[in-house]
Amino acid sequence: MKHIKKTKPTKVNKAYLDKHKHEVIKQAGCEIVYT
Amino acid sequence: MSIVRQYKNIVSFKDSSGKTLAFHSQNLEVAEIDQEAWSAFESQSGEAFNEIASWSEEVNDQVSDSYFEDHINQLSINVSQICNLACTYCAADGGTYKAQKPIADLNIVYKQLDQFLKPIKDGGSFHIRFFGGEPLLYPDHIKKMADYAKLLVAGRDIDLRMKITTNGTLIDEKRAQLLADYNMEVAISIDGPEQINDQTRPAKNKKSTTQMIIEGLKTLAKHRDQLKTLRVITVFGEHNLDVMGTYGFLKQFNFDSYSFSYARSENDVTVSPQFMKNFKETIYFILKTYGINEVLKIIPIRNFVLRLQYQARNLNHCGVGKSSIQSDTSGNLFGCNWWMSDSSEVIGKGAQIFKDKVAPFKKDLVDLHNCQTCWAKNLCGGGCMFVNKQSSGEKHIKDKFFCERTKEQAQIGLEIFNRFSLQN
Repeated sequence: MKHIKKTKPTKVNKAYLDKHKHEVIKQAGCEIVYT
Repeated sequence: MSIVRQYKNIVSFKDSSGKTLAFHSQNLEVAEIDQEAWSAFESQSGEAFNEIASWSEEVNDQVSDSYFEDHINQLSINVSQICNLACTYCAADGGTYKAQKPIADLNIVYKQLDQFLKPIKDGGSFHIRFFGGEPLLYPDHIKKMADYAKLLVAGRDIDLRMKITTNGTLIDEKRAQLLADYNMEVAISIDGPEQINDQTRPAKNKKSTTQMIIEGLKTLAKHRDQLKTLRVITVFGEHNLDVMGTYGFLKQFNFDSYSFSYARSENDVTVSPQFMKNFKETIYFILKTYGINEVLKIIPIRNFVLRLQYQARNLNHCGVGKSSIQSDTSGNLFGCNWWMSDSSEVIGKGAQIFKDKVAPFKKDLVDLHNCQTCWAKNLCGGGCMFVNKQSSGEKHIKDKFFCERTKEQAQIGLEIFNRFSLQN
């Protein structure tokens, strides 16, 4: 596409984000207070 | 909020640096677009518009929905229903939830743990959260519950996680050791520096609590390596709109993350936008001064970035009626902690969940709350039923200020995610 450049997932902070990935894959409680 | 243009699944807006970002609200994809594409949202014609229209129709197989397990995997236990503080905005009626039972009945808690831990399969996880009132009023009680839970999972491949939400004023060496012994995820409530926190979170005897919390944090710091995480929960609202000053104060304690939440009020028409203005200024200050890693410690922002990174749609803001349950000191079960003062919200007793009471919550909140046309629904998850109920008296009628704040925070998340990507 010429007018739209999609953003790729980050590699820079991947380790940090991977560590917290579970917080958004399998949910448990409240999004704000006890993710 | 900055102006948003929308065509079907695609929304677009200018970020804080002037870049034009676009977001596919179903696929959770972010993009930078050029001026022609930005204009095409209005003209709805030309090559750029065709690209937008084509993107809107794309289906991304990599996107998934966040899910809840079909059994309880998070039990929040009110260890106590008394508190040594008298917070001005307390949603728990001074910690009592209008009940006369100050301490949890251990026999009921043991039965609940027996029941809820039973269906957890090998490789699964279970979360226990010690809550209140102030749970650290009764450290020995916490130890008994924690030991019992550990005994139940002994020899089983279960990731048992223990969490505690405390006001932090009672943390002495004994209590710090307790939190360390169980590798707890510790959340401490502080609203900011002394001049704010002492006003909003005073002791029942009117004494300053800030110094007590600071002493508690110093004691806890000696055990930091043995804690799973250390988080601060800060409530903003008309009682405190100084986000920058509050962050500046909190930073010295080196928390792993900051849960910046907001207490609604009748004055939200002016207070809520002011909070968001201050919140935004603070986020961009953190970004400029400390970098992107520090911004990721701010919970609403981190959640959005995580959802974009892993393309995990959020259909439920919380696990009420699904995999999360809260027990009061008498063993009455509720969906949300903040409904414990209302007996009509009881959804179970002891270890038994009343099926007819949880049935209304089985649908996804984005559907229950009629969020179909909102571009941010798959990042938000349909909003907070507690806030809705406070605002309208009806848990499924949305609080418009909550929606506005969430959309603005989501926009920040989209921008942060895009900035991240540029560092690749």
